[in-house]
Amino acid sequence: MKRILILPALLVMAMILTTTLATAENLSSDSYLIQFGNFNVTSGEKSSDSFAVTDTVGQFGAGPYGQYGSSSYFVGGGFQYIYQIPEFSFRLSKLAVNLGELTPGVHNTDDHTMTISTRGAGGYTVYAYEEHELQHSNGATTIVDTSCDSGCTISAAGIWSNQSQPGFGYNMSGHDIPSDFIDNSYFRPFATFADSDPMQPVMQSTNIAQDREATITYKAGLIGSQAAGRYETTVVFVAVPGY
Amino acid sequence: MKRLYPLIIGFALIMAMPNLANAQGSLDLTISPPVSYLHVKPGSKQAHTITIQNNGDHTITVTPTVHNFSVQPDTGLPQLADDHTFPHFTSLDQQLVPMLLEPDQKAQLTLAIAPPQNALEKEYPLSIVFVAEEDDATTPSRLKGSVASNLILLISSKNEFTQRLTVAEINAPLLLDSFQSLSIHPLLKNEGLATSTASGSAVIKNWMGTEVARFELFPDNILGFSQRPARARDLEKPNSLQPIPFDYKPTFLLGPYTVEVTLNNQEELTTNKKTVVALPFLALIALFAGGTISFWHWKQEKTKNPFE
Repeated sequence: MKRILILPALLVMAMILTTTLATAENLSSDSYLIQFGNFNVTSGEKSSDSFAVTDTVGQFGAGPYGQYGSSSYFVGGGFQYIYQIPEFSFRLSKLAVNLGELTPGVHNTDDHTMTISTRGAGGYTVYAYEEHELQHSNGATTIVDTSCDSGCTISAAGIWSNQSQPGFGYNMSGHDIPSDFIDNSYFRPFATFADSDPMQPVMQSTNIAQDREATITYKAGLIGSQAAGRYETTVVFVAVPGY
Repeated sequence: MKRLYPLIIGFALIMAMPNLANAQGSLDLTISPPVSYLHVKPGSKQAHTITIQNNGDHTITVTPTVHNFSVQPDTGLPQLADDHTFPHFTSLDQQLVPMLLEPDQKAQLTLAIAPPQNALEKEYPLSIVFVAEEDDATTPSRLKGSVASNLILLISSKNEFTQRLTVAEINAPLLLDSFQSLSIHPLLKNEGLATSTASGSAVIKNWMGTEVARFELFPDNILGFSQRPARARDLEKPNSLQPIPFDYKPTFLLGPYTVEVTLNNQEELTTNKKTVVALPFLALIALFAGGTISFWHWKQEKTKNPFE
């Protein structure tokens, strides 16, 4: 009997532990707080092969009134008003780059994805730059930006596969990337803020974007005379919508 | 049955710790509105609010900055400058302070705009950039993610503006092979102070003057005193936000084709034209090459057997 009870108990425990806590949306400002902000019965986007519709059921005075962001008032009653408030979102799958312990004659790499969505038809650009060149934690040694095997610049990629060629650079693959990243052997150095380089587009499209995703791969290598160890910089991405 | 218990317990523990896989964290930002057009009269005041949300799984620090932007002439996309030159923000330094955002938390930035009576009448394309980084970052090589909200600010005492769009150029080849498609790239220019919305059509006519293709211009905004490549609306999907290229793809093109781009300005219709000539160049070259080779071959044969 005990055996029979243990299995369901374990399953119930697993369900309790894996269940995400349900939280209601709270609306607040300096002067008010509304808990459980959604008063309507149902709302959202519905679609099939032949139709696409948005609805709000049970909402008094549904619809937008005023122009969001420009007139002196805006009331969004119901669900549809969100279509007048387009959103622009940008996601990086990591918050840090880990190139590991660098040693001469070996290239180390790390990568992450970036994802962008915009509801407007004006497109978007994602720019990238590094704050400074890769610096050793001792503060004395710097890894120069890559010049690839036979030349590359902040705006033109080149092949970089020779492991004895030192430097720091990046490769792009995925949606809306610059066309000079022909395959995963092509790299560019980052634009450097400390050198007043103009930041460079790494993703760009003039069209509406829904979950457009690209992968950036970082690569670094040392020459024999440089100190092995951890090197650091900060890479900044700037996502700008079209208009 | 006893053998299964460790498996069941292991499964339960794995399911109970789904966030282990996300230990490195991610940065996920949403901004609204991405673009705003604001008309402020000299001597009046207005506020503009931007909302930013942290959809990621870490607490982040967000620092807003303001930049001018110019327009990339080949794409019409914004190109950010290092700083801004708009002189009529009120208490901007007090607004541009770092904000701490916990996961799923929103914050708002409200900019106060107050141009004086004698303010210069001008349109200012601005980008408000929110630079986000992990709050307690100790990792050596950090990543910062930023999202921008564009604010096109028009300072003018007028209530209405005359639309002054022109066609700066129609980029199309002069000569075209008959088996290629006819692609045109009109470039629109706004000679007015304020942003205008493109409206009009592009028509392709054959040598008899018969209309063979018609495109409606996509209602893109062209900033004051700037240029932008025009795009076409997809007439089969009138509500689509996805523009289409100006491409005419018949099976065979022949003779001169006239491209006419007409803009529906408020006061008048303006039309620009360009002629493209299509001929079967590849077929003619192949014919000429074939003829030359045949002639050469015939000549060789004749040299070998002069009495034939």
